[in-house]
Amino acid sequence: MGLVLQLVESSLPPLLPIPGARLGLANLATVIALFFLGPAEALEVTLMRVLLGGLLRGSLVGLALGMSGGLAAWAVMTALYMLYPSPFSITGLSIAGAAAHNAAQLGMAILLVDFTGLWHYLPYLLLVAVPTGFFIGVTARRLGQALVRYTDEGYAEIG
Amino acid sequence: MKEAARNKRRDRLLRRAFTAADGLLALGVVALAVVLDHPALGHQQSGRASEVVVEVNGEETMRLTLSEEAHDYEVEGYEGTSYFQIEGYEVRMVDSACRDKICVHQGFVSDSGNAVVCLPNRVVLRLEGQGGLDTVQR
Repeated sequence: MGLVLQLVESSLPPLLPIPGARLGLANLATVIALFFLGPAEALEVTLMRVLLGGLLRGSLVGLALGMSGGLAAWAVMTALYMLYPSPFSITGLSIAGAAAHNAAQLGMAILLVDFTGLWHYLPYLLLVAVPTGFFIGVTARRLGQALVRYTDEGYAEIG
Repeated sequence: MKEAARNKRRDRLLRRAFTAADGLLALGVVALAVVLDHPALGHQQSGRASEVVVEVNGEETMRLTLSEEAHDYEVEGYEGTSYFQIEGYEVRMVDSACRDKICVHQGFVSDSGNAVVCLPNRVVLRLEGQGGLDTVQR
């Protein structure tokens, strides 16, 4: 458990400073934490990530946007995760999470500038969520498989 | 016991790269985007706008008529100054006090109901009215 948590934590910092890829890359940590550690731990990771990211960027607007997106993505992915046996793969979870992430960020943005015309961007943001969610899903699967191999070897040594 | 259940979920999610349900989900998101983009829902107002409303943090600070000739304007936002330009019955953000410059890259907009938004600076250039260009041409 500790080993996996550490691996997840150490994977966080390099993900944060990439501005263009924040649409999805940050969600990778949530996805990995969700199915290795569970929903509660994924929520913890998401909150910490958003808070740290917000502090690093030093922007309250950014913090509010990241929080809304991160929480929405976590909620939707957890809901799908709880289905068992799940008809979805990690890719499906990731796409749903990305769509929720973008929609919630837009919702928060509308609250912040008090301009409902921003909804015009929703179709565009939803379309973007499909390829980014897919990409993150595939990446999370690769990373997940590597982590499984790594931890199983670890357990074998202990056992 | 709890850990075993978690690992079962984990392994099932990891086993396949893409399932039929994933495909349906992706299609659903795309379909939703297309439906939302439909004129009846998303763009109630269409056609060329006649004026631009400048809002800072949701409050109207300026109302300008779109014109053929170029005019430069500036407005004070939350983080600094936003510079915008009206030309050819269109409006665009020239520069703004923000990091990503998404508003600047958006370029010219001309349709009523559309807008250029600089979220960090909380500046919105919202297009309103009907037939700025059409009225002149006819």
